[in-house]
Amino acid sequence: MAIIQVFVDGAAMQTQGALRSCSYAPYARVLKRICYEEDFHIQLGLDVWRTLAEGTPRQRAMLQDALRRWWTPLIHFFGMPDRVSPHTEKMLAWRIKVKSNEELRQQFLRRFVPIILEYGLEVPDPGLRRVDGEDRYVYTEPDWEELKRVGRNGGPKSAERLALRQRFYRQHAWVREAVIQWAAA
Amino acid sequence: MNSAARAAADPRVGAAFREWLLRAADDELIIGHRHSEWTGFGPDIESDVAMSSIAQEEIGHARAFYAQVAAGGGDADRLAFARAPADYRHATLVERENDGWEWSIVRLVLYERYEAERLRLLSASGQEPAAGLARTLLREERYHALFADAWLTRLARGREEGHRKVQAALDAAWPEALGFFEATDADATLEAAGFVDSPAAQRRRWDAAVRQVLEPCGLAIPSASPKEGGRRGQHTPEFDRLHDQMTEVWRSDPEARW
Amino acid sequence: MGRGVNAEEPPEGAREPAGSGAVPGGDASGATGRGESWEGRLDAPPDVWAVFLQARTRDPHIHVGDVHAPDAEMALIVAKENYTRRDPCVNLWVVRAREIHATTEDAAEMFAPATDKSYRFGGSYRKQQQIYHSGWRLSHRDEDQ
Repeated sequence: MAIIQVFVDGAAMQTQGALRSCSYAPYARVLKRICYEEDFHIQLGLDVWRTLAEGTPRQRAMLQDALRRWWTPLIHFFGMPDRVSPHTEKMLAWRIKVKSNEELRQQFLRRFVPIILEYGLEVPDPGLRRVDGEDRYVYTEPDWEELKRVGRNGGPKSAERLALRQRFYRQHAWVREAVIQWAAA
Repeated sequence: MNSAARAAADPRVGAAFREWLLRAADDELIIGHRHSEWTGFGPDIESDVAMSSIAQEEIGHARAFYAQVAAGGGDADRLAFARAPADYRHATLVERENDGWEWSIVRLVLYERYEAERLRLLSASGQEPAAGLARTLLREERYHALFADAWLTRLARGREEGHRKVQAALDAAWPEALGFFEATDADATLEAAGFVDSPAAQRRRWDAAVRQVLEPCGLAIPSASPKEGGRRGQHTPEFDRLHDQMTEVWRSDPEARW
Repeated sequence: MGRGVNAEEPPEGAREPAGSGAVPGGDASGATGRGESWEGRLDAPPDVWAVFLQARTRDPHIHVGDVHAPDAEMALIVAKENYTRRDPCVNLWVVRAREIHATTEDAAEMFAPATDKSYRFGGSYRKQQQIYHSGWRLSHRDEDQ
């Protein structure tokens, strides 16, 4: 949970923070409040992160294990590398995207890899390192096909989660009708 | 000797008072847990957020009550997570699984009026800081009741199918709602000490209060016998499952800080 | 929900989404072509409510966002938890978004001053300001300023 709150929310902050200046005004408007709240989420996440990282050996092991489990999805989070991302050029031209996927990924690594190292934990990618003299990381390229599969609802939990949401949506059909009826009366 | 002084002086009264607070804490924690299970699955996003927020508040209230109980010596976290299921004192209605939105709303309506009454009695008890806490919590609970009543009205009066579903939920919930008022020795002690009137009298006031929202919805008030046990630690398999899940992290290492 | 006027400074080619600004002609049915229409009702679905929040007594109500709700009471109830969890609030308004009348996007040109309007701003009356303020200080010596 701490990993999600620090790293996934942290990753989201990179993209959403950038999009505050995008050209689609309704989105840009609502992001102001969202980013403020995400910031709070990350603070809370860091509180749990610290408690666990400074806790029992078992807690540290849990944290490291969770980091390992979520590392690939975190790298995936920012999307395909710029060289294969099909829409990036157009999106940047129209300012729907403000920064490229790779720029955001690098921003994320610069921000969060030091936190991992500071607490004596391991980055789950042995191939990750800072490029000498540059403010940039190289990392082991993950399986991009897997990202495509997940994006098409082919992830390990996708079917189950969707089915659950759809079940409740159907279950609540009468609720939606009831409130409309009442309002109309 | 007034009630406040009596409680301070008599350890039996003090113990009864703490049992009363523990019931409140357990009720709030368990119903808060059930409310939180709606997160992500509510009928619309706005109500999803509202219900999640209510859940969070109830758990916050529970924490405040546990702290009061633990003030005599103890640990709020241990009270919340380290007891065996048979040591919890909540009414069995709050441990029941969410059986549809209408079920949860009906439970919320019934519970909120009970809770409001409990908080009013507590705020008049003269026992600080518990009385002060009760006065603060009443302000938040007012919103919970508003939310519950608004939803109940729309579900029960929207259309025939909804009305039937809500009536069925009310019929199912009623016997265990009466279990809110299950009496133990503590109740007699508290009554003798002047903090509360009899459970029967409290139940009558609650009954009048819930009628005010149920009857305008055209709902029939059930006439079932109480189903009790919760106040004495007799809970259901549904609570065993909830307890298991709720205490999983705690039990993995009771000495750890989280 | 869109607005008739976009207060951001959009880069070239930025748009509000089609159909979200004021519908010109002042007619919710979307009739257009009545010449230079500059206002209309917001084109919003019936269950969208604009939420206005008053932070403290004597503050104005500020538009903080929208909620979907079947009716006004429900809109107020959900607005409380969706907009006031962390921000101070003493009062909430909700208005059905489609009841809001707004100017159209291209009416923005009317609001920007075309000719010199400095006569509307006190800054151009420097000498007069000094006389007025010194007088104020004399007459209100007893008050906190």
